[in-house]
Formats: sequence, C-alpha cells, structure tokens
Amino acid sequence: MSVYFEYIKIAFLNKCTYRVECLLGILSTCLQIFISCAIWKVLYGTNQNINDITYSMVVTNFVLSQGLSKAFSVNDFAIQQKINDGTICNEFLKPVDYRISILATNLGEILFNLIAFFLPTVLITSIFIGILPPSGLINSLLFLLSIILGFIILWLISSIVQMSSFWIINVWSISTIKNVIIGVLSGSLLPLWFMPESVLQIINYTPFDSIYFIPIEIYLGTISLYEIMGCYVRQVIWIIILYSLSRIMWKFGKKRLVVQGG
Amino acid sequence: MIEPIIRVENLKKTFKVSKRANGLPGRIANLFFPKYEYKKAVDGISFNILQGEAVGFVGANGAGKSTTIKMLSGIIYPDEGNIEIAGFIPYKDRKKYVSNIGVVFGQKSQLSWDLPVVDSFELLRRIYSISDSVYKQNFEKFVDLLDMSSFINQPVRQLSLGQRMRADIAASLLHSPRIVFFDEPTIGLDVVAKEKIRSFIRYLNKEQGVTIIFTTHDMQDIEQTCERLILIDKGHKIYDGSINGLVDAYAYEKKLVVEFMQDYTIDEISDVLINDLEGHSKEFVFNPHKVSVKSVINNLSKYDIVDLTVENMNIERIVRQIYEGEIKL
Repeated sequence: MSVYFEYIKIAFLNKCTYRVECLLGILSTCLQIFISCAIWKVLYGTNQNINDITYSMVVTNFVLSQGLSKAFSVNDFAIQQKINDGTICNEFLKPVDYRISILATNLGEILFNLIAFFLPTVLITSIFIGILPPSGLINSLLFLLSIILGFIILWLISSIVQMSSFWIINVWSISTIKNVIIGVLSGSLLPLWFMPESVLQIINYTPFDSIYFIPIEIYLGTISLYEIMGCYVRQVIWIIILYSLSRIMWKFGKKRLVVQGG
Repeated sequence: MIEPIIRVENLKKTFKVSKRANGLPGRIANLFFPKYEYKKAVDGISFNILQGEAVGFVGANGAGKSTTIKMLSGIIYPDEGNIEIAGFIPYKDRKKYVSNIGVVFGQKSQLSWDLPVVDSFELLRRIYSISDSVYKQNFEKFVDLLDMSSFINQPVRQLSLGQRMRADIAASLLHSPRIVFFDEPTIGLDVVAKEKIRSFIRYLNKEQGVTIIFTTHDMQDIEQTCERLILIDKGHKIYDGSINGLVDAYAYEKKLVVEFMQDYTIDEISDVLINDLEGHSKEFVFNPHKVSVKSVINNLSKYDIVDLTVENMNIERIVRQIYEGEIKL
C-alpha cells in the first residue's frame, strides 16, 4: 500500500515544480467564475429569487462546481501519451497495479490542486462575490462524502476515456465530447435548477449530475436527508456500473497493447 | 543438466498494420474502407538460456528483437508459443514476475522528468519493496560504478543523454533482478559513455552472475559483454551459438591492403583476388583457410612496399554481410 502513497507524493512534488501554471490557473478560474456571475447578476436584475433559487445560491454553485472541476482535472491523455511515446512499457514492468498507480498519481495532483488552487480560488471569489456557507455541520460532512463519491464517478469516466486509447490512437475527440457532456449535465455551466423538467428526467438516468450538482445541493441544504440517502445510492450504483465497465476494458485493452517505437 | 532459466518455444506475434494507399483519392478511400495487412513480427522463435549467461540478441531494424524482448518481459501477449522464465509465464503472472527482472530501454526513460534522480529511485524502492540494507548497498555500488555522484541530485530533464542512460540503468537494477534485458542501452552515446556501460554490464554478469540479454546494433557491445549470440532476421532465428563460432565459420575472407612505391603490374597469385585501390595501393582478398598471409607476402617481396595492413573479418562485418544477404546461414 505504501507504494501508492509514494506515487501520490511524487505526483504532488511534480506539481510543485510548476508555480506559474498554478497562479495562472487560479487567475483563469476566478475570471471564469466572475464572468458567469456577472451574467447571472444581469439575468436576476432586481429579482430576489427565481423559482425559489436565489442569486447567492447560483454564485455558490459556480464557485464550487467550477473550482472543483478545475481541481479535479484528470488527464484523459495519460495512457495515450504513454502509448504514443512507448513509455507504457515501463509502467507494465513494475509490480504494481497500473490503474491504481494512475489513480494515486491523480490523487497527488488533486491534493495539490485543492491546497494550492481550489482554496485560494474559493477565498478570492468569496471575498469579491461572496458565497453561502454550508447549511450546517452535518450537511458539510454529507457534502464531503458526496463529493468524494462524485469524484470517483468522474475519475472512472475519465479512466474509460483513457483506456479507449488501447483501441483508438487519438482520444481527443472522445475526451472533448465527455467534457462538454459533463460541463452541461453536471451543472457546472448552467445550474440544473434552471433545466427544463424533461431534460432533468433524462439527467436523472445519467451519472453526471451526481459529480457536482448533488454535492452542491447537499451543501446548500436544498434537499432533505431522505433525498440525500437516495442520491448516495445513485452514486454508489453508478460507481459499480462504471467500475465494472472500466475493468472489462482494462482486461481486454491490455492484451491489445501495441508498443510503438523501438 | 542445468535447467534453463529462460525457455522460449515457437514464439509468434503478428501485428495488424494499416495499409495506406498513395495520393489524395487513395487516402480518402482509405478513410472509409481501411485496409489492413498482417505483419509477422516474430515467427516461431525458440531458444533456451541458462542462469548466468550473457546473450547478445541481434538483428536488423524491424527484425523482431524488441517485440521478442517485450514478450519476454511480459508487456505484450504472444499470439502463439510458450515462454517460461524463472518459473513464471511472463504475460500471465506479470505482477509477480516483473520483480525478478530488470529491463533497460535505451529509448524510453522510466525516471520522473521533473524530479531529481534520487526521488525516482525512492519511488522504485517502494514499488519493489526493497529492504533498506539492499537498497543502500545497491545505491552506493551503482553510484560508484556508474559514476553518478555528480548528478544524482539533479532533475532528470537537466541530464545529458549519457547521464540519463546511466541513471536509467541503475533504476532498473535497484531491486537486484536475476535477469536483465538491455534493449539498445548504448544508442546515441559517445565512446566513453558506451565503455562505462559495457564494463558495468560485464561486472553484472561476471561478478554478480546476473543473466543478461542484450540487444544492440553496435557489435562491439556484444563482443565485449556476451559469449553467446542469437541472430534474428524477419522474425526467425538464424543463428544461435558462440560469437567465436560465428567468426570462425565465416571468417573466410582476409584482406591485405598494400601501398606500393609505384604502380606495378602484379603477377597473379592463385586463389587471391587483386583489386586496384586509389594511388599505388592494391587490395588482396583471400581465404585464410586456403592461402596463408605469408605466401601472399612472399609473392610481393620483389616489389617496393611502403605500407601494409591486414584486415580481418570481424563479427561486425560478418553480421553486416548476413543482413545484406551475402552470407547465408
């Protein structure tokens, strides 16, 4: 087990090398959040709330979902890059589970992102725009659990995209489609409160809203404890489905591996 | 009878290669109706290797060397055939098996680009759960033998190719593997760096008894480190035996290059081919099994000679002639 902690550490240290990237990342995310909020401020006009949703709730949604989605950035091209330059050999030559080592690497990067990127972003935006506090201690804990489950779902989806590079040479298009779908259906571009009922019906059958939107609803306390439990069940079911799918892909994918160059 | 540590039987691997038509119309047609052809990279290779042997694995580009190494190290699955190494079937028991082997790819670094060399070593120590004493011992030994003390704390991206290669070799051996595969470890290195790596490989094989499989295009690498040679061509094994054996069998050609004082018309010598070279030089090609050097020189004693060199058929030239089809095995 300690080997995977070492992967986390190495990834964290690797991230520390790129300070400028981190600063610019904070800047660009803050800008994005400011722009989204400015648009919504105009849309709200003088209204206190629209369909019981206040402007502060919308702002909180943007800060958390956009901040987290940047912090949770998983490199969809991790396997593709290694296949393209052939260094995937080195990964297969180590007595570790390659997929767990990717997860550990991602965790290390995300840990860094949360500390050096997400916290400053939340701090800056809460000073300049102001976000709502969590609706209670219990809700913050439930939020944490739900965001972890949400992250696992996000990671599994990305891992499926990554593993498709065993079959196709360039996963860029799949990755782009995935990012657009997640952006729209997880509520980080448009809060799902404002989606038409018919679209929400469809979203209910997808794993995407459970990545950011469900945790944020828990954070804001807009859904009851009973509903929260239902959300957890949905998240866990999706994790099982996605995990099984990624396992099957791994099982067949690694046999197809073609090592290029030399 | 010693049991072989590596046993390979009738190994086969075929790759699907997309076949591109030429020209724009062909390319567009290709987009909708892709054509594939099957290329046999490895086509029925068998061999056994004993514990402690150093084997040179040689073949032209695309002969199937690297594919074989990748199958032996458990990275890719063979289509057919059996591999058994140190009691494992590489592609089946990959996770358990890889702790027994070390693999050095000359063209693929396993070090973390942004971190100092030692940090990558630390990670490997955890990955292979190397005990502190073994790690310390190996680390000090490798730093000393591979002369790494000056750059061990530098980030990998700032290393020269020779330094990076040495660090990569050390990285692959920290866990004291019993079998080590070297896949072109001297590629692109200067003479001094090559020599360091060769002497290190010799040390591993002779002093530590590590079984070594060495692929390279530099025949001097092989001559200086290995006793046995396996030649691969178009996916087939064409020679398997001692290096000296190959030289003895095919060194049927010796060349005597003589620079004369002036242009002479040389009398014919039986069984010797005479070629004119630039200036007043001539080349005498003969089979040393039939004609002795002495008799050739005796025939030339009546002429004024400025300089004289004898060129032997070495392993490099033999292998080149095999690639070019001049020698049929």
